[in-house]
Amino acid sequence: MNSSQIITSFRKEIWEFKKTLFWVPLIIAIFIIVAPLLRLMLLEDYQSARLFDNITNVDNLANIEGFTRFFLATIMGMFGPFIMVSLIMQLYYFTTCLFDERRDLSVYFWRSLPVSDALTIGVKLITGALVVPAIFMLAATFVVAIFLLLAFIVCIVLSLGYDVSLWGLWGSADILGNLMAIWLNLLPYAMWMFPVFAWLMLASMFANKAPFLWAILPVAAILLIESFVVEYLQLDGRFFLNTLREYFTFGQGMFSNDVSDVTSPKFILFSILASKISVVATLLGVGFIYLTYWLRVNRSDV
Amino acid sequence: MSAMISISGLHKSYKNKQVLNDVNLSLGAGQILGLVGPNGAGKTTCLQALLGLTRYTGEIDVLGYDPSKNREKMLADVAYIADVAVLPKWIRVDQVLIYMQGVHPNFNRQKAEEFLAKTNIAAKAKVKTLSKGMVTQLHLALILAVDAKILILDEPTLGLDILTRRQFYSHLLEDFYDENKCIIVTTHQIEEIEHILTDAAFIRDGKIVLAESVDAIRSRFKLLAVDNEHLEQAKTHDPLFTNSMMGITSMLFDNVDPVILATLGKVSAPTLADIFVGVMTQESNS
Repeated sequence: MNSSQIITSFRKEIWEFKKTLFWVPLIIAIFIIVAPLLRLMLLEDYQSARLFDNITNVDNLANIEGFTRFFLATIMGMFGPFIMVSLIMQLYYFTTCLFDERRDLSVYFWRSLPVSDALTIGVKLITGALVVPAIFMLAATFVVAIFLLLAFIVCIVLSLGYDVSLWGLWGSADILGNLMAIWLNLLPYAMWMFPVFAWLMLASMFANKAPFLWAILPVAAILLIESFVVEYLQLDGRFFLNTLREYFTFGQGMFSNDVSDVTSPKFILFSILASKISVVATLLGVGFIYLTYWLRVNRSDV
Repeated sequence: MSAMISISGLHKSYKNKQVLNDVNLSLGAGQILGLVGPNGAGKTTCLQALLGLTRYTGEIDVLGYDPSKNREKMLADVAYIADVAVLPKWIRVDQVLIYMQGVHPNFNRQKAEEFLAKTNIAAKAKVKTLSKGMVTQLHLALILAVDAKILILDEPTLGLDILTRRQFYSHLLEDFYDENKCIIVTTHQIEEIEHILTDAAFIRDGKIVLAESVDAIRSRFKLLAVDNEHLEQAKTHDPLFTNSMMGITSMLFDNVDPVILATLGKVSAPTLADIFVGVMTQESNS
């Protein structure tokens, strides 16, 4: 295993999903850029005047902290659609990444080359967990950059045409800091979702048909059986259901209690995601990945 | 001559079905072995075991490596073309060249490009847009550009027209083969590669029923065109195979003195295809 093999293996993964990884973020980006601009262009005169008043309102301009929070919320709002679609893409990628190559028999070609199965599994895991969302986040960052450029133009127009200076807000917006904080969320997010990703890879490697069903059905079956057992024996709680619910939901308590000691609002999400990472779940994910590797080594013959 | 490939006591079974049963083979530099057998005989499984692509019991040594433990190291010096088009459909020709260059330490991209320049395969073409023959040519270009010591071909020309098949084997000899390398090839069209083989192994129901050099096989087996007058006398020498057509009976004999056979009719050297049919027929009758 050398760096050339690693880089080339990542390139291969990108090539395979190039169309989706290029066009989907681009379409979302165009929609997010064009939709508000169209809305702005279709504003009535009185609406434009109200907007202008809001922008140039002295009280609003003096509320630096409020503006910083508004700016952070706006950026996060822009990243939201990208992250949600990215998650769907990730689920699709992990479900198909090891299944498709067995279906089209190309696994015989890949495995006839001096590339280890450990490298292949590792590259696919990192691609799905980090590279795919990073591409979507890159597109989101590009959208933010476009809006910042538009804001810059608006500032120039207001400054020169209306003698309204908004330049002070640029410094308080902490643009780079906020963007970096959002990018930083990628790591705890990947760690939190790691057991899910590993499970999907296992289903992708195990299934001879319908890998998505193989990913869903065992979980659904366990939930049903647990439900039946709990009802029949009249037990107090549903361990499996509660564990899943606890792992994947964000309760109100997390926002009010766990993050109270966080100094800056831009690290709230990081703190919440980091708190969701569980040692047991991570170990379970490691187990799934090892099983995936074992199946790839010993059961690749179609 | 030390063996580049050594297989001893190879067994493989899927569930309760024995696919390979005590396979023993050895291959050294300069040898081209034709592994011939009917469908389902275990040829592909044998080659996949050799490449470490499937689990097995027994001992396999390829260039000093155990394929089940050192697959990726071994594959730096071993090239393989499978019996079906296994190149991924989504990849472009230039991408697969970049990929090979990136992952294979012995791949010469320039050599592959020179080979492809002689074909009508476009660099930007996707594999799914290529014909079956073009995909095989592309795969061959990739494999010939690898400075491999061993080449393993599993029905590489299956489904190709005769021109492409001949071109394939011609390139194989011209661009790959030398006395330091060895090739294992499985094919149904044994008559087409007979002239390039140095050795042949017949496999049936997972067992090697014959494995010798082509010269030894040719001197061992004789084909006799026998007239009706000597038919009963010829049958006493236990022919492997008898075929009567248009008044002439052909018989295949194993290890029978050619001088004796000459007294019974016209003796000729059988083709490997004749011997294969004879050996397989005998095996199924026994």
